Amino acid sequence: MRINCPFCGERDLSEFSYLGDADSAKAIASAAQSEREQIDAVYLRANPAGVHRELWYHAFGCGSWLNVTRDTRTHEIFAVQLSRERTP
Amino acid sequence: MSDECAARSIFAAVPHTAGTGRGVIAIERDGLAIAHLAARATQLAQLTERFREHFGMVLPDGARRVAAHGVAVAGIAPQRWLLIGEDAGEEFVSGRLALLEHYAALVELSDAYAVLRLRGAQVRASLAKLVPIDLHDTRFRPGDVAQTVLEHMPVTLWRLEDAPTGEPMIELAVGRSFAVSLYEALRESATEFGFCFEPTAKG
Amino acid sequence: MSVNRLEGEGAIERERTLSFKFDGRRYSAHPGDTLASALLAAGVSLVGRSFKYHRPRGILTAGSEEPNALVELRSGARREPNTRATMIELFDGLQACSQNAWPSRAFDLGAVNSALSRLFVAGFYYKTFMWPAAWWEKVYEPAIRRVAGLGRASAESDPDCYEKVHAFCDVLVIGSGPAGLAAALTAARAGARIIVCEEDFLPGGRLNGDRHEIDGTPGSNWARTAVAELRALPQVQFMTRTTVFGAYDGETYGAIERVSDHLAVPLAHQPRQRFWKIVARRTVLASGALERTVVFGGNDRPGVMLAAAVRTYVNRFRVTPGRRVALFTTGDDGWKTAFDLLAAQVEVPLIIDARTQVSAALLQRARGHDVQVILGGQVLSTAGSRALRRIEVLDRGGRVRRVRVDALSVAGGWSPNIALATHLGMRPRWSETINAHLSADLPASLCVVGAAAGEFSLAGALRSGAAAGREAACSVGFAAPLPSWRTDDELIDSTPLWFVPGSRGKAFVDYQHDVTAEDVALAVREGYRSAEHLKRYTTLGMGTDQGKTVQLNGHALLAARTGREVAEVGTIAARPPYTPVAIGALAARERGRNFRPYRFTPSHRWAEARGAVFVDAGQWRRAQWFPLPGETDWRSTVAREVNTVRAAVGVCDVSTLGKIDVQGHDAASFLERIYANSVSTVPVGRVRYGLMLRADGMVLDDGTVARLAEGHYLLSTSTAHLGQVMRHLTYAQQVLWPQLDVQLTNVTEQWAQYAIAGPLARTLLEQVCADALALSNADLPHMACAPLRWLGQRARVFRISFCGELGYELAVPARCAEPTVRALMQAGESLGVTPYGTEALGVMRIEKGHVAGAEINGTTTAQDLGLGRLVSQRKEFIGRVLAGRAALSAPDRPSLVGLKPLDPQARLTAGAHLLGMGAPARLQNDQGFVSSSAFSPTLGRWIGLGFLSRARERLGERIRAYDPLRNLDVPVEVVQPVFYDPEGLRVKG
Repeated sequence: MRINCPFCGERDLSEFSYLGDADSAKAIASAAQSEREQIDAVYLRANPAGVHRELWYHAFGCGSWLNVTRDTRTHEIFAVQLSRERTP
Repeated sequence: MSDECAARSIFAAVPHTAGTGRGVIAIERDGLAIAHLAARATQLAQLTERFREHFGMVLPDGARRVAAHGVAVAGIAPQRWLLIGEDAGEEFVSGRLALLEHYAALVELSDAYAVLRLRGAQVRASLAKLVPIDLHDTRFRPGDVAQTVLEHMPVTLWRLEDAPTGEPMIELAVGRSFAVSLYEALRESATEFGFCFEPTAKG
Repeated sequence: MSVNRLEGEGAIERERTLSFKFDGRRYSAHPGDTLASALLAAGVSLVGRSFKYHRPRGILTAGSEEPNALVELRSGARREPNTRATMIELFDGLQACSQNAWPSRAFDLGAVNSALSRLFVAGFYYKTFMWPAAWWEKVYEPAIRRVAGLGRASAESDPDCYEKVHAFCDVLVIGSGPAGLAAALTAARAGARIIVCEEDFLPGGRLNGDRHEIDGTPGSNWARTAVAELRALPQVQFMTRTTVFGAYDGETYGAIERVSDHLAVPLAHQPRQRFWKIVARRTVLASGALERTVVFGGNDRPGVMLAAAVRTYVNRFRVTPGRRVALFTTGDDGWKTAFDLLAAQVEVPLIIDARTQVSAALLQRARGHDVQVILGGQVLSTAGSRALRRIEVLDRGGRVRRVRVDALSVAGGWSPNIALATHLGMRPRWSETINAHLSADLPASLCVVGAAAGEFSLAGALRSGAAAGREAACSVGFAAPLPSWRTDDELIDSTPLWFVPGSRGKAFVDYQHDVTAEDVALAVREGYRSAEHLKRYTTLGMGTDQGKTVQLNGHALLAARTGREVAEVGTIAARPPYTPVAIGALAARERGRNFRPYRFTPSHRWAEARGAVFVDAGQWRRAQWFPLPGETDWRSTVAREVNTVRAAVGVCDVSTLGKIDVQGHDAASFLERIYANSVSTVPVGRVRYGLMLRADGMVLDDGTVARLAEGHYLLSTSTAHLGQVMRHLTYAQQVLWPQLDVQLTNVTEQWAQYAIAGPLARTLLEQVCADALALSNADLPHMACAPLRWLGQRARVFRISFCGELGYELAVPARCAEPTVRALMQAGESLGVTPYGTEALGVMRIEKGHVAGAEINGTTTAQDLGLGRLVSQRKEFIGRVLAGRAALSAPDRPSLVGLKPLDPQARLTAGAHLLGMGAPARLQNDQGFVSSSAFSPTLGRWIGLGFLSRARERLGERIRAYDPLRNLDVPVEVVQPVFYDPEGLRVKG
């Protein structure tokens, strides 16, 4: 699989590490955290067979966190955004 | 600067040739002053402006490197750059760069990197064994910067203007602790083409 | 000796002769030969014995799909088992041995298995060796291993090296037969960057095996000219001996280039093989088609060979597999073999075509020779003990006749070679036109051409190749004119005959795994209906050849037995690798010493010169201890180092610890969200211990937070966790709170850092930098930090201690590392200073009860570590909510304790389980474990840290440390986890 990093360009999977469901960050960042929300965000992340918005870290590149929209069945990637510039 | 701290070739103890020929020539780039520059939030425009005023260059917006008057600046991440001064000395960060501090976090990294310049007809063939990126003439152009992985080591590469002979010149920077491992990987990958190491001209 | 070598021109160099040995006997061959062609030339048709029944086997094919002719190549450390004789390019001095035959391939005792074949039917493993269970490992498996199986691997280390190369191109062309060459020429002439991979050492594909003309010249010449044109273009990389073995996501392909396999030993500085990872914007798959056999009795006998392979041996290698060769065909293509044999003056007594009607042109051509043609005929069986002597043929009228032959060429029809077009999960579709599977649902980047796309004529191959080459070049921005070439018309009609119903004797549907038609029938009787299940139950197609030559026939048998069409049965999924790949080639340079990079601290050479013994700590090489002359036991070295630090002063290289510079207007607020304890209140010039949690509430790492200035902090991390901490911090910075003004810089490599510890630490430091820095308790108290000039450089000193003594850490730019450590050792000489390594550091931190990697192991909370009181209840930070889960505070959850053997001499081991006195060693009695242990020279006894249930109420209790691995069962006392200076006075000295 290859990911098109907005800064570095298209790179091999081996440069990246994976975190999972991008939505999980909302609960972890928020100040008003219930235990239930946190458990969902940490342990019960969405992992659909299909289009998924997920976080990748370009560890062996520019160090950017990326929001990647990917079809988990085909590994087709529809969009890659810098997490810090993401549109909500 | 204390003389004691000046002699610091990282590669003093390594074998200096391998194979026959000069397909890849490595030159140690020491004496560089290096700083990491990260724009403060909302200060990018001012930083760019101040930088242009004082260094006569525009901070690159992507993975590109520009150089003028002995200072080079390479984009390594969104709103982050490496500044590299040739023969800039210890006062590089505390002196010329200090005026940027209001707009950016400025951190001295002169000792953090080992930098090698590679030239020769087989530089690309040799690096193709080591890095998973396309170094073709039209894909990695003079002034391009790439950060990637070289046998598990994080590495930053940039391509300089070709040598007068037409041979490509690429510089590679790795964390100082990786210097020997990097050197061995390079030497082994280049042995079939003939590898020579030239310690810095400054001894 | 070369009894079967023909006259005439082929692709071998007759002027040169090579010598080789097979099973110890010497033979000769020519450059351009494979081991298979050289053996055939020498009249050797029996090459080895089969896997299960030890049946004599010969050479079936002329390519990588070969199931039978597997040999052990080379000897000693270079011995390579299961190598296909058809792929071994002959070199002078080559040595090969047959496999799976004892005492010899001609007289093999294992052949008794054939008589016992009732035992070896489908699923025999499951049926025969079920009972008693204990017999499996002790009796059945060793017995089976002795008689079944393939070659022997060398037990020695591989003396050769391997390489990995990353390549990128506009168009990857897989295969250099007519279709591949047409595609490559078309795209390359347009200017696209091209890689062509050819498995064979001779490009051209079937143009070398068949007799064709293109534009009036022989096909093999045309191929040579085309390859020369491609090789002359700078943007083309043309690789022979290179098999593309897998297609992966992101237009990535894996290929193995056999750089030196055709040489006795690799040339200087050359690898044996190169693993290419190729990223291609477009790919043209021109992998051709694979000829199938027909399932009939004795279809495995040496001398039975696929018809196209026979042509290849005749035309390319000028070798015939026999002197009286019959043809059994199901289509027009097979007739070419008969005509090529006849043209080479080889006797063809009989052409058996399973079809009842064939083109008049074929019949007329045969009439010109002394050949008997049987239409609607079938081969029922073969005979001959070690080689083919006779075939039994059933004609349309039901008459069986026996014909003496020494070889039989079989043309069972062609299957497009589409494995690479299915690796990404695309299911092939059945084509009624060609009676085989074609690729389907291809991604836009992949195009299949030529015989691989069912275009079985030469004209069709060239046409489809050129069109695909043009389309690929256009899609990457190059305009390409469409070339055309003139070729002859061909007859390509065929009607499949999958199996001969009245076969006599074993009829194989998988040669390598000895699966017969009867095994398929049995599987159906036992209820198997799916091709995938049939594969797993009978092992059909599970050999190293993946059943390429005959698997479809097995599926057709399954269809017939279950009353379905072949199309309904479907096919099995092909997975990488297409042909076997050596693990060593995939590992490439990353083995032995190069398994991972080493990292050296800036004063490594000083430590080496000082005689340090090093230890791997992740990628780092760290000084473990520094033996003095005369010290032979490492324990005494470590004891001396500890005692010196406790009584005088020592110096330790702590440069490997992570260092992260944090700046920004929101740096304080950011760090409050990162650390579980309050850190923003630390004043400028002070240091605080900090504890970081993961979102799940477990401790991620601990370290220090030094405030260098307003909005400027320096964090330290443990050596091992730096990468994870950087990832965690950037996640918080970029994903969680991108609105904060925070800049992070990893400065670990910039600084060399030395711990100077012991009651005389200040005295030592005063000698080297008193004029630069005031070091008194008032000026630089415990947990303070200050900048200083040192050897003309900017440096920093931190008053922190990991070992529990008065301690400082001096951080200097890395270039000053060696002068610094030398200056410290020199200044400390009169004080009795010692350098100390990680082992002494570890002993002292256990004495002090400081937690480290063995305790911060990803499963422990702050409370488990005895650090619960640090966790702030007054702020929000990562991990707060989940660290507060009720279950994590349950009293029986193990938490940190100190452990002291009752017998001061008794050894305590990390990993030992904690059990109650007298409690049997069972899982349900397990109460915790020992995480760290050391012999404490300070206390003169073994001590340890561990995690124990209900720890708080059990101080003073006696329990056991039970270590069944080392056979230890040690009574211990539960104590506070601080063994030394519990009041913490010494660090303030």
